[in-house]
Amino acid sequence: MAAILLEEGEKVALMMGNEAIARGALEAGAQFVTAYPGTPSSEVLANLSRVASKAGIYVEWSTNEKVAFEAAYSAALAGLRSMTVMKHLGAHWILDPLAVAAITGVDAGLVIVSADDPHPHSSQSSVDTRFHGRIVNIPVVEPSDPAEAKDLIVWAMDLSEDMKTPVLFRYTAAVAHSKAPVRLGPLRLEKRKPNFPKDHPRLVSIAPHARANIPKLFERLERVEKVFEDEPFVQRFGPDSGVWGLITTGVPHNYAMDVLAAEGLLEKVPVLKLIGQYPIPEEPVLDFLRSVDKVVVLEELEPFLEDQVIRIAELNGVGVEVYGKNTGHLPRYGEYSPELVGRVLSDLFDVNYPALTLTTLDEVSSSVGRRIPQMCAGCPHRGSYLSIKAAFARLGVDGLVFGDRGCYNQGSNPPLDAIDTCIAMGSSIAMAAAAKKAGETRPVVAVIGDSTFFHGGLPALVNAVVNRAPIVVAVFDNRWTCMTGHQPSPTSGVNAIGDQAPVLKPEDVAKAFQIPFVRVLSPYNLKAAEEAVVEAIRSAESSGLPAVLVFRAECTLQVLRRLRKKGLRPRPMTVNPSACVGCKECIKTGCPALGFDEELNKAFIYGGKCTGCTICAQVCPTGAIVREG
Amino acid sequence: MASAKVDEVNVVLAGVGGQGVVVASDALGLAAMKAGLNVRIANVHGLAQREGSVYSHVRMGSAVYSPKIPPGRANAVVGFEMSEAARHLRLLKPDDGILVVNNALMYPLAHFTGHVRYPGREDLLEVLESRLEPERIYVIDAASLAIRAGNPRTVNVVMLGALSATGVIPIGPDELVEAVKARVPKFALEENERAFWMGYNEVSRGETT
Ligand code: SF4
Ligand code: SF4
Repeated sequence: MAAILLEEGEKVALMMGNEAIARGALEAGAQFVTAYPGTPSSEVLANLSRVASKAGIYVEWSTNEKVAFEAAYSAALAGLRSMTVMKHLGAHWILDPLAVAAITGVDAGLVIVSADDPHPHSSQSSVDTRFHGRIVNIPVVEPSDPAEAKDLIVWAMDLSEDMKTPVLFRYTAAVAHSKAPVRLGPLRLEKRKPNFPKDHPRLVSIAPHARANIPKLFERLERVEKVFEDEPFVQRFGPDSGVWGLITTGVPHNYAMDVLAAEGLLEKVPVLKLIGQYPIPEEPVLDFLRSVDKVVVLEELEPFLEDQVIRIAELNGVGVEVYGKNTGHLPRYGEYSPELVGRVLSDLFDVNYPALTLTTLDEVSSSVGRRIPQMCAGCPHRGSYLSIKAAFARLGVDGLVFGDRGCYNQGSNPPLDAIDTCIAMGSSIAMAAAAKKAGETRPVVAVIGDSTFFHGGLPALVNAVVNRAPIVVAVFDNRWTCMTGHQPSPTSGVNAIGDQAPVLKPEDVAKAFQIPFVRVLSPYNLKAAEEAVVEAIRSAESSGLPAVLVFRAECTLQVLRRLRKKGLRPRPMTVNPSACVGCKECIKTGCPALGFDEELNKAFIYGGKCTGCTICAQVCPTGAIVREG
Repeated sequence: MASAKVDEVNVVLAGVGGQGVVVASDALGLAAMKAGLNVRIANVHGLAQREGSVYSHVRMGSAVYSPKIPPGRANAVVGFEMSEAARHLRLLKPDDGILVVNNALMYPLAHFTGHVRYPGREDLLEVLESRLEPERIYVIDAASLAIRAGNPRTVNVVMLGALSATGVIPIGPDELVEAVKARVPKFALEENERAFWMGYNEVSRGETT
């Protein structure tokens, strides 16, 4: 599908939000694009990286979001239009340099794309990143669907360059992963030459310089507000006035339009859509508030617009009633849906939205249990967790396992139930070390994937060494950033555009940090791995320093993909029913290629799913699991 | 066959990771766009590779704004797997929405470990059939048809063929086949085309159970 990104001429294409943002970058003249992968944002750079060489633009998967932001900022100072892409959690990492960039401003356009996950579908928190823009005082914009997302990247880039300020482009999961027809615009493939300014009073942002430059930031904001007063940043729908009005932004705008259309209210209810949200354009908002008696504000997560609307009404003595999160009609958390917006508007408008009638079909739906995600069949992490658990069992201890962010957090699900925490990128090592320093007597293991290790684990590992924390750090090195779709990691040996790169090894890092016990092992050999974990625990205790284990095996999906390309298949395992005693030990490994026949009281293996990794065979007490054929 | 004025037609496609739900929804969306219809698609596929539920909402027509189908407004639920079909039944139009379902039940591992209990295949089928009049439910052995088409991975396209034959969507079968061919790998064109017509014929000949 990447071919569409470079197509010229009049054309409408069915595009995912993230793909549309990638196309938007190419129409906006973005010449330097960085990202760290994170659902729901990853497909933006994944798509761009496929056409980057052809388009003559620079793209990179950066080590983490702070690095990604600083790289794009630097390029924008040098005069190249730049963009950086991340999920909301990553946007938390960039606040420190972003606050300074807001003060120094930029020389060329710089758009920060932040994907929020209000549900959340695949995140540990759901903070509204519009506030990041507000805290540092840069413009905040938000699109409501893929087509608008593409156009808004262009508008935001132009705005950024005209006003010399970074712009925060916030969008949500429902826009990122939905698809809609997108009308392609002209490509703008810039070939600017960089010229990094030597401008000390601005770019050497020591306190006296910062004090001198901070007022300029607010002057810029005032100019931005003027721009936000007009289309396309503000849009009006429906009649000029009404009893009820809606102020909307993002995907809730379209949920509202669905409800109005279904109720025949499109011609009765005026709607003000705010694409430019900070600074809020007071004039059009005030006009709108004066044209209605009551207004509902629809936005996902915090009352970001709503609070500003209430302030504007108050200060100008407009007696409009404002409904939303402050009145308890709408929630401050969770993803909105047509159902939710329909229910709220039906209640307030006193109409009956037909979709809300519950039927007996609901019962059927709610009777189906959730599909608990598991690590894939043949996943190396399964062996790593089993060996850590086996080592604890052998030592007769109830050890603590601090987990981290990646596929391996599925190890928290039953039946493995193998980790005790899962907080933020890199937290495992810092928290594990602290547990020991606080006096924890049980063995403590930190589990962290290779990409996460380089993203956020390094400072914590240094901290654990210099403060002498006797923990085991288990790096699950499977060569890719898998959870988000197998982007390259520092351990991959390739970069975003497929160029060869050095393969970085966590064990080399550990040795350079003077960690005395460093061992590389295979997760597929359970006995040897269990032995290594036991030794590592003992070493940490005797040396008073961290011990590092690198569980190394490439992600199974990547291995299978390569096999499939060669027309090959793995040789699966199979259960010999006459030897199986029905103990279910194999099932407890959590491999989804296994099943159990209650009637026969025998385990079985789905041949099409099994990768032949042998982990289940190693735990079967009767040797019932053997290679097929 | 594409009618000039279509207000709103909503289809839910639901299955588990690896069944090709997203490819099928893309094909349906592309065909609708070709037929001049406004289209919105919502995909939830967060953990597709990790044994999770995958579903897609495909909305077509001039009165469609958002990508998500409100409960009770789906013209069809197409279940690539029985429990996933049941999970999305609440979206079906209570009076005349139809269910097209593959008669396979894929237990999650947690069912075998006893952490989640899924119903038996016959029991689930009975529940589905008890809630919908016979003319509103099409049960298909898509796995066998896919194998007969030459590739067990074409279950998704068998299901699209079956959906097409129900007459619920405002797109002709030939147009839908073309969209399928534009979306599947080049080396698998023939088996996918066969798979489509196998699903189509199964419904149009009334051979569903
Ligand atoms: S060998 Fe066992 S554990 Fe490994 S993939 Fe096959 S069934 Fe799963
Ligand atoms: S571990 Fe071996 S004996 Fe026990 S259920 Fe599995 S295959 Fe059967």
